[in-house]
Amino acid sequence: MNNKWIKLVSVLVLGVALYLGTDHLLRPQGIEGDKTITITIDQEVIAQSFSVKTDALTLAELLEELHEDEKLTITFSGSKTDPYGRGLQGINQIKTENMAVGPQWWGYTSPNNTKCISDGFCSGVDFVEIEDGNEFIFTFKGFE
Amino acid sequence: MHSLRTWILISFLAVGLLVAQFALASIPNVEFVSLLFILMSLFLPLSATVLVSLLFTILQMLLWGMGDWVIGYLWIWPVWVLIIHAFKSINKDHADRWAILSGLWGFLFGALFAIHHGVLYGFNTMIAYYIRGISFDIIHGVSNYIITSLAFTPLSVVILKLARQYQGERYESHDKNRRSRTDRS
Repeated sequence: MNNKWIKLVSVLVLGVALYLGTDHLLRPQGIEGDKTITITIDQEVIAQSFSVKTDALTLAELLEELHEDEKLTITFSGSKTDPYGRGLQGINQIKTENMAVGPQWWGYTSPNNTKCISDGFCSGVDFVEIEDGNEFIFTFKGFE
Repeated sequence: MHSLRTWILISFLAVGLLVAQFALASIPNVEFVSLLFILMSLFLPLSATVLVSLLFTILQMLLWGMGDWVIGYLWIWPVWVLIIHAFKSINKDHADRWAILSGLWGFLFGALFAIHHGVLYGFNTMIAYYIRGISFDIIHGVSNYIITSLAFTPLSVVILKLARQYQGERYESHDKNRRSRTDRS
């Protein structure tokens, strides 16, 4: 193996190590324990609002629970290990067929989640740590 | 002022970038675009390369739709072009140097996009966006380094051959390097 390949492989190994390290450090730890979360879906076909009790640490885990309990049908795009986690592709029958072009996507806001408020927006579902009493409002919109 | 012939070349290069970008769109932050900007800067003057970057962004907007990222791309890619032109006389045709610069650009790209978000949405958003994107930037920087290390030399040979065939225009901004290549061969 010549020097060039040694250098490339070293950079690749260092990059993978850095990636895994930062990804692990930056992933949310979540808040353990029972929480009551209010989910509001502001979309005319599946409009609904309900509260759930959960031990989930992140919004993604809560959505997975709702899917398993058959309260909502949730579809994700991508994977948990993606840099921005998974994308919320569909709730019940309302889905974004192509996440790259839309033209409409699921988005969510929270009037009382600490991180959503401090950041000015809610991160990807795998990165939103939920807190007791949080409300999340889901909308299906394109660019306006 | 560029001739019609130059505008056609600029348009084709922008489309080429779009195709290259589209080809790797499914792999987050792994791209050929940074390298292709380096390669075209070897023979295109600064103004033409900046125009390619602007047209490339407009084509992406037509393909993907308007978003805040369009405003970001409209100034961030020209910044990369300016950096490349600033380093042209230093890096010449050293693949290693271009690979290091391209790798650093991968890290800087995320920081510039964070600044862009900061201007649009505020300081907190900028910090949150940057921190959340660090792992993304690592992929970008490392993949840029590897792609440029492997592909710069073979592609620059092809690009310079094509540039020679494309005669009649004053694309001699890299002529010192071209001469050194010719001298060696």
